[in-house]
Amino acid sequence: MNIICLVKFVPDITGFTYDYHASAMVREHTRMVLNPDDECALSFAFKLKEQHPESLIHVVSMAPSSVVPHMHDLLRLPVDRGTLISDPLFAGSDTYATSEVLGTYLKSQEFDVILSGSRSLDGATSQIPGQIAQMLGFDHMLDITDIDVGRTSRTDAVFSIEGEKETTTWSMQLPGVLSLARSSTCKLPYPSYADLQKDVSDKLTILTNKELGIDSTHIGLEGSLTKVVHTYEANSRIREKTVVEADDEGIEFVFSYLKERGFV
Amino acid sequence: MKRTLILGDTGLPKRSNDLLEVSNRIYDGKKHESWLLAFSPDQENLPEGFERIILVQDEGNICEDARYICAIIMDLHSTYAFDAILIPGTWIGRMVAPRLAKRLQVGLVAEINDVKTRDDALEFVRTAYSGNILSGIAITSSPPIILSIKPGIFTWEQKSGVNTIIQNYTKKLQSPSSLTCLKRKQRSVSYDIRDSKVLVSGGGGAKRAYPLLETLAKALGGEVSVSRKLVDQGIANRTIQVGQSGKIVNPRLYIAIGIDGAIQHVEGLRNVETILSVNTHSDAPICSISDVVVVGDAKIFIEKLLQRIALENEGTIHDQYRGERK
Ligand SMILES: Cc1cc2nc3c(=O)[nH]c(=O)nc-3n(C[C@H](O)[C@H](O)[C@H](O)COP(=O)(O)OP(=O)(O)OC[C@H]3O[C@@H](n4cnc5c(N)ncnc54)[C@H](O)[C@@H]3O)c2cc1C
Ligand SMILES: Nc1ncnc2c1ncn2[C@@H]1O[C@H](COP(=O)(O)O)[C@@H](O)[C@H]1O
Repeated sequence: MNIICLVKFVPDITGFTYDYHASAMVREHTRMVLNPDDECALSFAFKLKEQHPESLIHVVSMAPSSVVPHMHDLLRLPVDRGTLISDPLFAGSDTYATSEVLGTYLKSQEFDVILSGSRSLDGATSQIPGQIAQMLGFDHMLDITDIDVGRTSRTDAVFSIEGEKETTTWSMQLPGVLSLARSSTCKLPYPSYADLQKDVSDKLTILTNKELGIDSTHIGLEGSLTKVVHTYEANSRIREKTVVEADDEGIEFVFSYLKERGFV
Repeated sequence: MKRTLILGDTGLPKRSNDLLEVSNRIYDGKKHESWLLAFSPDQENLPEGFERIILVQDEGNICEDARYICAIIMDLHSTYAFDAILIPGTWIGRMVAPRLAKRLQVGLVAEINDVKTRDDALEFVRTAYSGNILSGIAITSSPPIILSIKPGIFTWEQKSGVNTIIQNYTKKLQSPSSLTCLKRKQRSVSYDIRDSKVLVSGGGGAKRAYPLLETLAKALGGEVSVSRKLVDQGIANRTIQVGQSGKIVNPRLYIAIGIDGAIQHVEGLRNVETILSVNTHSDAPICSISDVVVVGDAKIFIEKLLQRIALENEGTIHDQYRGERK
């Protein structure tokens, strides 16, 4: 199978903490990581490749050139090729313009399936995969938690979704777009020791708009149909709190507190 | 007159009218019409407050077919020219909205949680960077305005009765979709934490005490919820996770046991009346937003409180007994 994986590198915000009293975020050592949902998508690409050894995996990302080292890290895994779509002209693209760029590139490619994440950590819009599917005229499914690799072929995919009230299993004709949601079972393999230092730059293609040739009114700030006009730090109500210990006295306080309010 | 189309929430059909509040905010209380596109075959259960409901007889699970829903909306839009199209930020809604925006070539703001007007311009607010930052976003393309709306944030209060016209959608469109549902398996969680009045919620610090959470929840007439820590560790199911990537809850009482209070968790607590937190560290972020803080171990706290409740109940039984004997 020819598999394209859409990947995005996002700031690792799990280390961020929030100081409610100062209403400010404590940002220390921000580093970029592969978006967790995309990590799932890629791990399923590897499972598909195990099942269908002739498969080719191609990771595609649109990002500033600073992510090159991260792309190299992915290319040390069983990934066959990488494409980084990167041009200062694309800076400021909203999701509409981003999917325009990615969709235009993908139209020029041959593949059986596009795997992506369901949401990105920083944008978390879930818009890119759906808009790409619309541009390519394909089916799309979001929040997939498992792909049945044994029943997935070049023409059909079988996968399931853990929904609110039920788990559903689906089939979909390929080519199409499958968006994975993070589940605890997907972890990427580590590169083999021999591959750790390997020069993989020949597997990475960097494309600018010179190669893609998209009308400049459709990309970057100009091509964007939404605009961030304000940003605020998230704010939470600070309450008048009573502090007690988990001893008899404290429990008595909690108990009366709950009783007064009718909870016991 | 301005006209809004709202896509019905097939999971919670009765709550579809919460999106009316978004439409009211967009038109700033000025007179406008709101229509609903509903898939419920059941006329009794249609929500109130809409000028018109367009009812699709859902035979082949149309309500799970994003491309079909898009085709219906495109068809309706070509006749009725909506000024705004509001989509619930549900699983299916999150597939419909981006397609629709691309088809109509308009900007889309996804999963908004607030609508503001600033200098006469509309600003749609959504969280970014995992809830750490809120962005106010303007749409620069011409109408319709397309938004998807984060569930559980807006609530609509009926002001006056509206006469609803129900119109059946009879056109049979051809869905281009090849998706087929092969199997459905019911899941075991029988409650929805969004409906709970009392939540006993456990986090990383309540791992050891996890089985006790349910006992305490029962004693208080509530249900169990969790932070993402316990979901990631495979201890609890995603359906009971509170927070930005879980659910926004609105209980009267939220007991946070061994939960640190990361912003993504607290994002789910914006409508909670009373917060009681139990934590070994009195300076955990959750403590700043709590009404009562118990400093101490999760397991000890639950056991002691259960004992105290049991004591009270014994008391009541005795009292009743005495009462009967009198
Ligand atoms: C994109 C994104 C989305 C996210 N969405 C969510 C979400 O929806 N919901 C969510 O909850 N999280 C979410 N998170 C994760 C969030 O950032 C935190 O990692 C998570 O909430 C931490 O869970 P916790 O507070 O239970 O665990 P921990 O951070 O491990 O905190 C444990 C707490 O328990 C206390 N403690 C330890 N031992 C005891 C004891 N014996 N008794 C009492 N207290 C004890 C500790 O002092 C600490 O305060 C998200 C993260 C990202 C990046
Ligand atoms: N700039 C990008 N380059 C490649 N893939 C992307 C990009 N942005 C988003 N995606 C893909 O789309 C998914 C959903 O992202 P989002 O729409 O931002 O929530 C991600 O998990 C990625 O798989």
